[in-house]
Amino acid sequence: MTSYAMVNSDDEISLTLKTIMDLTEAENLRLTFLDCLTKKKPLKILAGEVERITTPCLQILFSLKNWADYHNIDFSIVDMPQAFKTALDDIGLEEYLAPLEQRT
Amino acid sequence: MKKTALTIDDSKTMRDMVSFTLKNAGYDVVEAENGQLGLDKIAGASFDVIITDVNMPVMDGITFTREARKRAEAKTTPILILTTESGSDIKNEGRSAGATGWIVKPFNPEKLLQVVEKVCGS
Amino acid sequence: MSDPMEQFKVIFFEECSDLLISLEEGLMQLQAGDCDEEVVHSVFRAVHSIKGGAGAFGFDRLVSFAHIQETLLDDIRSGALEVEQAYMTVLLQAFDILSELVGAAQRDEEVADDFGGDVAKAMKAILDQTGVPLAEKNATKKPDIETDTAEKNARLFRILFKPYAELFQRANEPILLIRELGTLGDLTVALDVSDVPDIEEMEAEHAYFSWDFSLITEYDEAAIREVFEFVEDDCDLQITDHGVYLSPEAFVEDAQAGLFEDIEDEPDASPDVLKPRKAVKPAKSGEAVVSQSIRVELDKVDTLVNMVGELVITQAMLREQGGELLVEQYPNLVQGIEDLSRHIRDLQDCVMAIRAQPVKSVFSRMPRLVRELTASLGKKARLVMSGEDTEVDKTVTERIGDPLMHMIRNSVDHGLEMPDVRAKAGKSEEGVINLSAFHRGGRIFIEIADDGAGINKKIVLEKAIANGLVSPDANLSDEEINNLIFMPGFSTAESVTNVSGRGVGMDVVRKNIQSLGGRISIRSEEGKGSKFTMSLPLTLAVMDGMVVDIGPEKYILPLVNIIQTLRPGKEDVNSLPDGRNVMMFRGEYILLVPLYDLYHIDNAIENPCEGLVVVVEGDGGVLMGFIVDDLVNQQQVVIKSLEANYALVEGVSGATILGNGRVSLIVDISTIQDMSANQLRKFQSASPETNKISPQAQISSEIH
Repeated sequence: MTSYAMVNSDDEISLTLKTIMDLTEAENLRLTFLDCLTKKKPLKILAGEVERITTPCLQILFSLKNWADYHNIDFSIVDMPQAFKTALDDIGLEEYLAPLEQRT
Repeated sequence: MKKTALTIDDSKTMRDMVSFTLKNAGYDVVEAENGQLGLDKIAGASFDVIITDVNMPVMDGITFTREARKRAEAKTTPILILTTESGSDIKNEGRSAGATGWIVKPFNPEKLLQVVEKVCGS
Repeated sequence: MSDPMEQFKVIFFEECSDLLISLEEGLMQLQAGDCDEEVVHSVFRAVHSIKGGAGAFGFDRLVSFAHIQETLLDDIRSGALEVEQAYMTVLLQAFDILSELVGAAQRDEEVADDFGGDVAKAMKAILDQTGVPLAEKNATKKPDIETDTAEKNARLFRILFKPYAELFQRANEPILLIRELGTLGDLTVALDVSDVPDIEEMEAEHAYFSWDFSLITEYDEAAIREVFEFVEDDCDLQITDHGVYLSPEAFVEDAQAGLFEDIEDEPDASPDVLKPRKAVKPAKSGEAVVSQSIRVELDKVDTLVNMVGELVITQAMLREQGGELLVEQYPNLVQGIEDLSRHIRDLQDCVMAIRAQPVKSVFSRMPRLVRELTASLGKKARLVMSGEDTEVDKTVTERIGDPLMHMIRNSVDHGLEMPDVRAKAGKSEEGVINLSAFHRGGRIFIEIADDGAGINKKIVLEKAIANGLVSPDANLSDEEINNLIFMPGFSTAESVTNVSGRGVGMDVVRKNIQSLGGRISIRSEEGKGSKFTMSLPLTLAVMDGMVVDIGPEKYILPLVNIIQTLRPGKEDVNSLPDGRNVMMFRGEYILLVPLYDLYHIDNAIENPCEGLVVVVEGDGGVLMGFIVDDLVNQQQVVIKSLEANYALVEGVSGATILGNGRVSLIVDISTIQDMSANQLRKFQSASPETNKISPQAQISSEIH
């Protein structure tokens, strides 16, 4: 399992999602997120490279948002490519995650 | 990026039909004659979809599915088994072995594409 | 572009023929008592594959017959049925029907409605015994989404989709399902995230999301279910039809009427209990390694063989030219040509090997032929085959099928006695026919031996005399009498029965074989049996030849026929009354054939004592002496068909191109032998006092 590209600066952690985010990636993503969250810094997720993302990873993204909300940690997803947006739309997650979208 | 498919069948006629249909739909298709050779193809390569017959020498489709699911490269790959109408048992067996779905024989090219798209997206 | 399906049909029928061969082998093994599990499996698979392919092309008759056969075989391999000999007879009959149906499908022929009906009934009777019902062939098919007759009005469906945790394990993906659902109409998606746990406790590969869909569609509920067909056991799925969708206003009213009432939790539908079934056993390890092979179109191989043939000719030319170079002057060039020659010979061997195939493909048709013949004649016979792996060029295998079948017909029809006759003679009721093939002396030999009544020499001699083939007071050896059946005009309408009756006598068979460069003879012992021995060249493409000078021309004699070459002394040569000459050779006189005369060559040596006599062996062991000027050399010759390039010429079996670039004709020994016999007869008809017999015997009687 390759790790995610991460930049850990003073104000935030940014994490770049991989091109294919499918079931095999899910656990890796979850553990990576957990790691980030312990740092208690704002978390910015760079989605620019995503070509395909499926339900398992989307579930984890959602759970991450929940946690961030609960612990008052800033959390955003940037550079969503069309494939990502379509997936969110299809699955019905848009209303939950879309407000988080920002553009750099 | 082109999608890739693996078709496993000991019948060349069947393999040719599946290949032809999927290639026309823009897939790259790899062929194998039995489950064991199918496992060889999977090693180190991942496919977007695998279509396998059930009755084959050396290793049948059910065993192949079970084995394939143990391997990282094919754990999450849609696997479709080819089954005859009388084989509802086969569907169950396929399911237990981890198959995603099935295609009923005889099938025409449109049906094949339809089912492949169902599990694989277009 | 032509219909690609046609191309697949061709491949399918090729595959069928392989499958039928291995199916028959397997069935015969089972019949012989070899109930190896792998044999049963492979027999099942063969029928299964044929049925599968047939279904794809819509060969309904074939499918429905194969279906019954497949079910029966499935029961056998799953152990529901024990293999009994009675079943084997039915299965073998079923095989014959199946073969016929495949053939009919290939020829695009209609088959009678009741064709195969008896056998199908017999199979069903066996199946009924086990109480296992023949599965409905026409199980209700799920309607295709696209071809569903759309209702005029759209309906509103509410769909609750709640996956179980393990839904992802079979690579099913909800997003794809949702998209597919969306193709049915207008879809509104409401995601339920209430089951998603804390990220710390989440199982990354479990499904937690669930959905509440509203779908406005003209399709029916079945179409909706079909979207979920692969996951229906991995989820809770509830589809509620809320009636015709009229308008947004109406929708709102319905909503108020309690559309979204709470759905009570229903007890989980227990997953389908897996019906008890014997596990599908994988093939035994230690099974024969699957040999790698690829299919190649024959045209490509033929082209390759021809091109290599041309290479051989060019190489021979180079060699000839090179031979005139002084080795000292051009040592590398000479060596190079030598090496090239060697490589090309190797190449030729390899290429010929590609096209070589085991005679099995021809032999495999014979068991069925024997079954049919014995059935229709009321005889009992067993065919024993050996040497099926003996290989010979495809050009030969595709032409020996018919002669072989005629000879086997002959054995069963004329050779083998009826069971009661055999029993009276102290033989077993079941006759044995041995079909074997082997290599010898650079040729392939095929023998067909039966333990039947043998050739009745008295009858044969009488018939030959009656047909004017032999003089009444001729003195023939046993072997000569036996070989009379090969003479033209021997077989008459009487000897043609219903079964053998495709109008072929042994003389036609011999002509066929001769045209391949082959020879055939028969040995027989009355009461014991007969044996046909056929020898054929390994290929029709290449031959070992002896190049000879006749006048200014060069001719080729097949090396395999040459016994010896010598220059006779005057005392060894004698004349016959008709002006022809004979030569003493190993204690008997053989006919001298003046090739220069036959081929109308001027300026050739006519006196055998000044030239050379090449003693050759023709059919039936008959020796002849060909008069030539001189021997040139021995070489492998690439045979070019004269027929294809020019016309059929009597006395010449083909042509080749020599190293000097000139065309050289190949002497056809068999027809020369016939021509000599005919000339003899023509002469004899002019002088009635001489006997009408074969040249050899004639000569012997003349001299002594």
